[in-house]
Amino acid sequence: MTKALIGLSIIFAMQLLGTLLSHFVIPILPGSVVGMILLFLALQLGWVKECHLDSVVSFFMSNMTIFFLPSAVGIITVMPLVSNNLFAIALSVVLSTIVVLLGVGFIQQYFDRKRGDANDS
Amino acid sequence: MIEREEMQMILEQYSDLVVVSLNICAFVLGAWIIKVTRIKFINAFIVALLIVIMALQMLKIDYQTYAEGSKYISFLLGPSVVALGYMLHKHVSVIRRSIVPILISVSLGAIANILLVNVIFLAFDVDRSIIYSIQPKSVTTAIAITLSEQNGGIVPLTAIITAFTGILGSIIGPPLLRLCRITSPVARGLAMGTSAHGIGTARALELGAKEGAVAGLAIGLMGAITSLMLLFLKDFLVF
Repeated sequence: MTKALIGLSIIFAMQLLGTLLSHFVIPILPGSVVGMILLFLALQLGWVKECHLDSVVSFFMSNMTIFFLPSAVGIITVMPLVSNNLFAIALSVVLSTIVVLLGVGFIQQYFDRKRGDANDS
Repeated sequence: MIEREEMQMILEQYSDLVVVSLNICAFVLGAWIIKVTRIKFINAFIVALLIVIMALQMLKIDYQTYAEGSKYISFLLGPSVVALGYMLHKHVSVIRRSIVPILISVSLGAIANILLVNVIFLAFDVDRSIIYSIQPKSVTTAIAITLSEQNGGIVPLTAIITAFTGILGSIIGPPLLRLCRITSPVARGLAMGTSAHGIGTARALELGAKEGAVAGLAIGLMGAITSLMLLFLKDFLVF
């Protein structure tokens, strides 16, 4: 209980800090993304302990999908615009997903081979 | 027996509670339907989305009321994005020695993704808001919709397209990688996580533990790098 609360306060503190930073210093990145980077750095530098975050993070990670369900339901308000452009949308999604998948795969495999650890698993 | 009018009154008076319950129940029901039917081309999220839309029609709840009550759920998106920083930390230690090549691969992937979306839409002459909605599609949904909102995209479209991108990548990913003889575990995990975020990562875990860890790392990296790249590239080639 206490640990979860500590973890929760760390998460919210990072989000608040990230949002403030984003608001006043770097308005280019969303506050929560800045918060994510801050939390990562704090963990790397050892300022925040992993054990405080374990349970809270696992809650957020395993239930994240429901948090953006409401965002998707808004589709009913923009249906005409979307259905008019359905073909372009579908084409771009399929093509760019394939290109990213294979592009990243090929480039990374090239690096791995160069370092001679392609079969290191 | 509750009268129809009385029921409508209750719905209005406790609309926040009704809407929050509706979201959660729809999701649980969606997850159950997917588990029982074992359908591969949609997931619990898409089923839950359809259930909510149908329920809103049946209960005659207007979208404004729904959006108002749903803010209690959407609020948790922010902390979820922050929590991804922990996942980044957990996985970065697994592959620390190959971090530079990984950063290069993911950056090139992010750039290719944004430019390709721009090129295709350039050919079709569509509304800019649609371009901004599709650009973050390979990023984990929580970050994708944040980016879409910030850049002037249509948030619901981004949420749905991102889900479909994840499903598509997780289905075609492993066979395509095999076909193109991409066999290195790091390359396979990175490709899955970069192109298909969380859903691709779940699939990558089935390929192997290392693939899964690398894919998990790719989610956070792709999110951060795409956020940055969009600053420079979101209007590139458009006009």
